[in-house]
Amino acid sequence: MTVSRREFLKTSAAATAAASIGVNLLPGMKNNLFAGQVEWHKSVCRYCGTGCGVMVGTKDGKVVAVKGDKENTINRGHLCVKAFYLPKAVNSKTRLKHAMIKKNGKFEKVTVDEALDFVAKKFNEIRQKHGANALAFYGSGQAETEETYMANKLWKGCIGTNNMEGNPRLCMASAVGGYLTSLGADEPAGTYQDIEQAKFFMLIGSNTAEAHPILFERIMRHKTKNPDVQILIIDPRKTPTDQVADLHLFPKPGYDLAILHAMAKIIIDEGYADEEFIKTSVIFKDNKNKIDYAGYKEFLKKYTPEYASQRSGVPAEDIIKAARMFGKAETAMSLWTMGINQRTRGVWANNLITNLHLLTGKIGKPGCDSFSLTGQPNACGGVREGGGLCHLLPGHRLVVKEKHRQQVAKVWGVPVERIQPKPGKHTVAMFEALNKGEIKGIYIMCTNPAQSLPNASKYWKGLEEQFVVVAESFFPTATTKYADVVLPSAFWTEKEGVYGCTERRSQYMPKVKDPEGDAVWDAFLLRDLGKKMGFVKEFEKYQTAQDIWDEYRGLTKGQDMDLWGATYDRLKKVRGLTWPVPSEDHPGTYKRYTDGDPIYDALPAEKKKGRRMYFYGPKAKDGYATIWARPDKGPEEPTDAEYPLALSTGRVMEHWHTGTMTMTAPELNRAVPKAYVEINPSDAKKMGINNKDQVVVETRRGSLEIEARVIDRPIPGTIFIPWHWEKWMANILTIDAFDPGSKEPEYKVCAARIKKA
Amino acid sequence: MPIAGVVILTREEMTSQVLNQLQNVENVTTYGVHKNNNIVAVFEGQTPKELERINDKLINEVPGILGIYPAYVNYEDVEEQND
Repeated sequence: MTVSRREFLKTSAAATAAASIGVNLLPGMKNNLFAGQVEWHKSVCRYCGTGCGVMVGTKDGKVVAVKGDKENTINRGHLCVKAFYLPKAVNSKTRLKHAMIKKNGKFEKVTVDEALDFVAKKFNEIRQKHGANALAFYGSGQAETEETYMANKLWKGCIGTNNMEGNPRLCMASAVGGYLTSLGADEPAGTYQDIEQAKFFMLIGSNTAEAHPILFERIMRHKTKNPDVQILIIDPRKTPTDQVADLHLFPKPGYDLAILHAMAKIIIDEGYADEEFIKTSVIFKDNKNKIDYAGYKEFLKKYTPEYASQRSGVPAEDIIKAARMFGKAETAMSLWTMGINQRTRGVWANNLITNLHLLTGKIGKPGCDSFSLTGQPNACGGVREGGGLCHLLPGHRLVVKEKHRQQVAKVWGVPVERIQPKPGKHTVAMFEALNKGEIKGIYIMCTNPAQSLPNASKYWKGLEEQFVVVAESFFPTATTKYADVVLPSAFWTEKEGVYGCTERRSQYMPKVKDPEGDAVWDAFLLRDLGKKMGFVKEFEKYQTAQDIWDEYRGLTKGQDMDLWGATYDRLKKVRGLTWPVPSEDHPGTYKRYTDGDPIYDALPAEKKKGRRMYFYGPKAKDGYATIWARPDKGPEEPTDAEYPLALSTGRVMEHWHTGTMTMTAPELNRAVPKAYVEINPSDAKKMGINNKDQVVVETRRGSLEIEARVIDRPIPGTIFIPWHWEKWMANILTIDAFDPGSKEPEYKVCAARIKKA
Repeated sequence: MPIAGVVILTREEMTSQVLNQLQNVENVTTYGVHKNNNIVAVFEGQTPKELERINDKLINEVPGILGIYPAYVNYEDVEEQND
């Protein structure tokens, strides 16, 4: 039979799609379908924090195809539209293929070796003249764990400064603060496995359909199969996530804390609290001190549904309904992301969500969890676990703890006194210090702060004036404009390493092709820079990715996020492992703090007696989680007569972050070709603005001319701008006020006004 | 010349209606309804950008589609040949 190759590929594509839902379109042929055509490699998606398994197809040394990894428990063979375009990013015309040094305002091509020599000389000069704290590193939740580990060692252990940060400070830091203060240790207790067992979902501050489409698919499929599953959404904006909602509360941006307190009050008043769990597993605190249950109830007295309604703008009867949905549900899972984290009270908002789970005992059981969704693929693995923030060391350790510094210094082979005991500058402070000239040299890896920082234009001064090194896979970006040196980084598929996703799962990614041009793996750029700066002994031992991973793995041994059993050999075979995984025969952990968690299981019997959960984390005392009586503070910059609209920013499905990767694909640019501001029709009518009019959006920090999209997605009094475009840079409008605990900025709400252009 | 195999998740009560509409969309080939509300389909185009246009068109213009999930995408140059 003669079959065209196109027909063959179509049949292959259909068969693969069918197989992803367990259907065999071509009985007897499935094993031969791709034989001899494309070589497939098990990997992980490069985009968001979901951690979807991707099979990468190569032919003649090029990435020519991707398919969802059917064996991966996260996505079961499906992808979203972003991963659909991954091959385009690898082969993009905007790939940076050689190193460059800026001379007289123009970039000149040099070898990587020459560039690193130049950087080493400049960094050493700055260090000698101004001290170690005049240098800084700014990394990424997209970097592999091995890459962040090398940066950590070079800056904290060798150069001797804790001015080492990463962009997860801008997205996940409030979740870290929330978990630490509520449960005593960072990262969720459960995993995605809870989705199919939950009877109720609270999606709060999360446009799950667009930001985490594969998890949304799992929720949708679960609800389709089980119509009794209920979904509550709390979000100021109507989004595609609404298609599954049973109830949607639309609070004014930044005023949802009162709703969560009111829900807690109703849950207690109407008898939905798990009094036994509260007695055995929970303590109460107000903002400073320990209180008792009665004190907490007294605190909640003020939070009647009517009071919460007055604060949030949500009808009182809907708040009551929401509380009853949560209270009555047999199991409950809360999912949230930037709408909660990117707030000046992001940690408190995190606490108040977890309060509801602790009050009802809906935690530590199948189908129950308080679960923060991550924005970047390795924010959890590389930065939170790997210690890539200014107060952390690898393995959930802290720079302030002498014992932790000693443990890490010993493994790094550096004098313990080299690691400073005081945290370095957090992200906003770091870029402030660059503006002031206190920091004189910075190495930026795999991220685009000139576009992604809040109140972005304020920080361009420091980038312009100080010595800036940017290691990137793409060129140009908003940040490379300010670089004195650009270093070409190997991209996804051109390097091996580990990503750790939202559900505590670490997954291995292979190198399947050579890097484009002169590009080098970031970990080796850092290793070689370290050697050129004089730290030869400290860095010469790292010859392979596995050398780095094994050293890091050793540092996690015995920690709460134990990855000792997650060897490269194992990770190459399995679809990731969820920590703690303390030995090579351990299968990984589904639920923390309870039966089946090896750390819980190893606790003395007297500690666990009468308790189904024991919160053993470093910030928990005697195994108790904490319910917090936090005040319901509103946003840093409330609307007023001068700036009467609340501005929020966020994502659309087709693009990701600053567009460095997704905008390499022209078809994605065409799908959502430019930014826009969403305005509610009632507000537009009052202002005489029509759909597609050019308007000027102004805040106290800047103004942006942009197209109006008149649509009933934002509630009256609010506007929304997606933040992906450099040309229409939403972050020149956003506020750089930050949460005093997590230091995460309040991207999600500031005061704005609009006029016709 | 990209080709993509996708699963289209539909509202169960509207699956037949969605399938009928898909059968009239250029560059979309359907491969039946499976497991109640999943339609297997292939998108194809002369250029990669057409895949995105098809995706957007379906999401925006065909009621009853809950989501479109690519499972396979091939970008290799396709030449007619005998198999």
